[in-house]
Amino acid sequence: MNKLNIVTNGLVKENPVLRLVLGTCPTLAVTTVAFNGLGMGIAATFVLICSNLVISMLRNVIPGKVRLPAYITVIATFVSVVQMLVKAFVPQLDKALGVFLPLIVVNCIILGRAEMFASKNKPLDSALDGLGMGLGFTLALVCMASIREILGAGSWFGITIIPESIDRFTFMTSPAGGFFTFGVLMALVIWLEEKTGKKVDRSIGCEGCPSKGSCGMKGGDE
Amino acid sequence: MKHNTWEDMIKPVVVLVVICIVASGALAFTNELTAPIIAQQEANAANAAFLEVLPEADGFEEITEFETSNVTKVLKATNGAGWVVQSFGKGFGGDVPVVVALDEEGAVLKVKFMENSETAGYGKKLEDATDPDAQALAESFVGKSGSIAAGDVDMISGVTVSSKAALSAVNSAINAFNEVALGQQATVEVDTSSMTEEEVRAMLAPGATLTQIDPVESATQVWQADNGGYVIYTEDKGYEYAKSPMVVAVGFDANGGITGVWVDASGQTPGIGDQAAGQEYLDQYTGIVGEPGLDGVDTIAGATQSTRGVKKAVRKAIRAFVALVPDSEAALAQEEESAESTSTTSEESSSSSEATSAPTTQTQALSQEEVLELLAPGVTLSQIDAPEGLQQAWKAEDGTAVLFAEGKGYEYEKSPLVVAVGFDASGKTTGVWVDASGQTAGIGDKAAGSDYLSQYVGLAQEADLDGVDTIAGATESSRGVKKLVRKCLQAYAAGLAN
Repeated sequence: MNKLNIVTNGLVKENPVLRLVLGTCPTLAVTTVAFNGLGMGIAATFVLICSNLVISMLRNVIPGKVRLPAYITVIATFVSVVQMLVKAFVPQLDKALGVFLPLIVVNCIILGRAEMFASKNKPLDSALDGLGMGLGFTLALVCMASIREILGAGSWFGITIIPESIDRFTFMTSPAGGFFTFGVLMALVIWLEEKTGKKVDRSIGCEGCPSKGSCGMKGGDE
Repeated sequence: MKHNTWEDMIKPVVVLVVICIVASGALAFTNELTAPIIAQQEANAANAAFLEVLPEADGFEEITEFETSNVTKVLKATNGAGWVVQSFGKGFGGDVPVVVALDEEGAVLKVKFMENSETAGYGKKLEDATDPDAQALAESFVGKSGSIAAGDVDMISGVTVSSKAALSAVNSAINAFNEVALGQQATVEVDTSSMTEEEVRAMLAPGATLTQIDPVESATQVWQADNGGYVIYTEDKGYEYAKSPMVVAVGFDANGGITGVWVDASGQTPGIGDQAAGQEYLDQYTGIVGEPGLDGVDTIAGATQSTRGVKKAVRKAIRAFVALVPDSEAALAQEEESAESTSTTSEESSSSSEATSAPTTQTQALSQEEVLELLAPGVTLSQIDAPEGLQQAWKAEDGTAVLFAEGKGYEYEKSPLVVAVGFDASGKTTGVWVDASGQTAGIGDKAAGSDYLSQYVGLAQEADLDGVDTIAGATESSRGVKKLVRKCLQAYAAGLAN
C-alpha cells in the first residue's frame, strides 16, 4: 500500500466507526454537540498516532505473550498525557468530555489498530494508519454530532443555526437519538457502497468481518 | 533450553518493566509541566466565584479554624469588605454547593450556586445563572441574616429538595460567619444514625439521669428523668411496605414540651423514607407542647407514609406522657383541644395496626346522635329536607349544619360509604365522619382515618378540595370520600349557605 492509501483507508473504506464498528461507546456518548465530537476525535487521533508509532517501533521487542498488557500500558500512558494537557490548556473540553477522555484507553479503535496494524508494520506506516483512522473517527464523530446538534439543539459548534422560534427535535440529543443517527449513517455508507459498486458482502461471523485478514483468531485467515 | 527460558520467562518481564519505567517517566514529566497550570486554573475558577459575589474585595485571607458543619471554605476580605463562605447542603443527587458573600454584620450580600449533580431541569437549574427561578431564589437571600426559613425566600416550586439544600447551605454559611466572625458557638451537625441508645437518651434529656419504668399506653419503653422529664419510645409502621417498623424516641421536659425526637428509619425506603429521620424534619417537633401542637408539622413530599408514621408515633408518645403526668401543660393543651374540637376525632381509627389500649371513640361505631354531636357539638340540630343527592341534612339555628351523603367507594365493597360533613356558622367545614366499614379492611378503611380526614377540616368551598390527597393504595375508597364531601359542599353552597 502506498502511504496515501494508508491514510485514506481509515477515512472511508475502513472507517473505524462506520465500517469496522469500533469505538461505538464514545461515539454515541460524546456526539451530542459538534465541538465535543471534534475534541474527542482530535484527542483520540493524537493517541492513535503516538501509540501506533511506539508499538510499531517495539513490535519486534514485545513478546507475543505479553503484547496486550504492553499495548495497554503504552496507550494508557499517552491517554494520561493527553488528559493532563487538555486539563491544563483546554479545560472546557475536559469538562465536556468528562469521563470519556480517560476512557480512550479502552477505545477499541486504538487497541484494535495496535493489534491489527501497528504490530505488523513499519513505524511510519503505522503512524500514517493512526492518522488515517483517527481522521476517519473524527470525521464520523463530527458528522454524527453535527446532525444531532443541528436537529436537537438548533446550533452548530455553538452557533445558533435554526431560529429559536422553531421547536427543537430534542430526541436527537438523547441516547436513543444517538443510536438512531448511528444506524442511519451506517445505512448511508452501505448505500454509497452499492452506488459505487463496491458493496462488501456482509455476513455474520468471521467471514463478514472487515478485520478478517489481520485478526489472529481461529476463524480468520492468518 | 536457555534460549527458551529467556524467551518465555525473562524477556517478557524485562520488556514490560522497561515499558513501565519509560511510561512512568513520561507521565511524571508531563505532570510536572501541567500540574501547576491545572492548579492555577482551579484556583482561578474558585477565586472568580469569590470575587463575583464580593467584587469590592481586593484579596482574601482564608480562615481554616472552624467547626461548623457543611462548610468548605471561609474567607475574609483583606480590605474589610466582608466575608465569603463556600458551603453546601445535602440535595437530591449529592451536595449542592454555594458561595455566599456576607457583610461585616452577617447579612447576605450575594449568593452564587456552584456546579451540582442534581436532576437536570430541576435542581441543576440552580447552577445556571440565567435561569429565572434560580436567579429569583438567589436574590431572595440578599439582605437576610440570622437563621433563614424556607418561607422567607423564593423556593423553586417543584424543586423542593434542591431548594432546601441550597437554603441549608446558605444557613450553614451564616453559621460559619457567626462562629468565625462573631465568635459564637459552632453549629455542628450531629450524626444521629450512629448513636447508641444511651447517647440518644442523653441527647433527648440532657444532663439528667434516666431510669426505666413500665411503659404506659402504647409506648414500648418509658424512661423517667430525675428532672421531671421523660424519654418515651413508640413505634409505627410508616411506609406500608416497610420491612420493620420505625422506632421513635421522644424527649419531654417536665411540662410536656418536646425536647427532641430521634427516629430509627432504617426499615423505610433509603433516600426517601429515611428523610423522616433527618434533622431538618425532626427539628419541627422541638418545643411542641401537647398533641394540638402536632397540627403544624408538615409531612415530607414523597415520603408521606414514613413522615406520617413519625407523626403518629410522636402523637402516641405525647399521649403516653399525658397519661403519666396528667397535670402537665401538655395534658391541659390536650383537654382544651378536645373541648373545642369538632373535627375528626383525634383518636386513631382502625387503620393504625399497632395494638393500642388508649384510643377512645372509634369513628365507625358511632350512632347517628354521636356523629351529629361530633361534627356540631353542643348545638341542637333539627332535621330538614335533604337536598338532592344527599341522604340527610341537619341544621341548627346558628347556621351550623351537618350533611350526610352516601356513595360508592371501592368497586367491590360490601356496603356503600357514608359520609357526614359538619359546617360551622360561617360555612367552613368542621370535620368529616366516615363510615367506611364496607371498604376493604386495612386498606379502604384508611379513608376513615383521622390523618386522612383531617385534610377536610376548614374548607370553605369546593375549590379547597383540590388540596386533598388520595391515599395511595386506597384510591377508590378515598376518592369516594372526596366525591361525597364534594357533594355536601356543593349542596351547602347551593341551598344552605344562608
